[in-house]
Amino acid sequence: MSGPLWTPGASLAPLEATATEIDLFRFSAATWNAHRIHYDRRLAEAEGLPGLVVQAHLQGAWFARLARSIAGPSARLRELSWTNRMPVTCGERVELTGTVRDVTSSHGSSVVDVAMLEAGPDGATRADASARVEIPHEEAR
Amino acid sequence: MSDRLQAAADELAAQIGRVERTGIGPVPALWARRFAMACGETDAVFFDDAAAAAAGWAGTPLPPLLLTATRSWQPGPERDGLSDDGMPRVDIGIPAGHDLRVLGGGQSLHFHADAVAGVDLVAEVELVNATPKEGRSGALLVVELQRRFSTVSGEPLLTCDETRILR
Repeated sequence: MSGPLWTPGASLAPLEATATEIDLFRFSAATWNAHRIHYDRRLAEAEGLPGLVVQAHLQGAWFARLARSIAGPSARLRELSWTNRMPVTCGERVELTGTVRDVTSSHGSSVVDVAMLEAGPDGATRADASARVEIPHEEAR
Repeated sequence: MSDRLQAAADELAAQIGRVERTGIGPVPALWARRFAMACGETDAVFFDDAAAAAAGWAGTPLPPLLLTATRSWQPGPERDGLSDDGMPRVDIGIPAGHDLRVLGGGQSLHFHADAVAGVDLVAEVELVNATPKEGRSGALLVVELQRRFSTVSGEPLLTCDETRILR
């Protein structure tokens, strides 16, 4: 094993993200998503939204990155759940944080259960999430 | 609840249990890598064959959200098949000819096995529920879908419970 084992209560290194218009365009293109709230600010605001909306799945991908950051490349994401609480808008800086809730070990690997939050610059929660990451014992840290 | 939201709830209630099955085919490695790039991934396993192999992958890994974030595994819809807001006019879990706002509410993914590029895949999506609720900003319709992805030989890869919010 290399480095410390994860224990309940441990904090993950935060992940900061700010999606630009270019990021929103590329994610919409990569997912064949033509929804205009992601690239037409006038339409988004006419729908009562505070600006161009960051795709829910892009935020899910950020949570996946944060969860996987606890281990090396041989780890596997086994579960990921997230719920969007408020829209994240283009240009808005968000911080994703995580805490280890539980660690279970079995033959050859450990499964780390993490709880995560995405907060905006105002501190309000934009989304919350949980994940389970399986880490081979030879890679646990 | 508004008449249009009630009509949407009634229409979707009649479709609960409906399942659509789509052949995805093999996802190209380039597509997986572009998706990873669009997510801001920097992990070498997504971009370097040797790094993926060293980490135990049998090919280029599909990024975790690729299968469930992709709006459609069909070529279309054609332009006329999109509403003014760019959303498909016809899609499971969305009422026909709707004029409702659709927002992603989140997903719950269970990964059963490694998914890699180049493997022939199949997707199923089932409308599980459509529930009217009162949200902080008024009435809404919570639509629940389950997406299941497997290889054509039947090995389960991923199950996803998805929530959409219709206003």
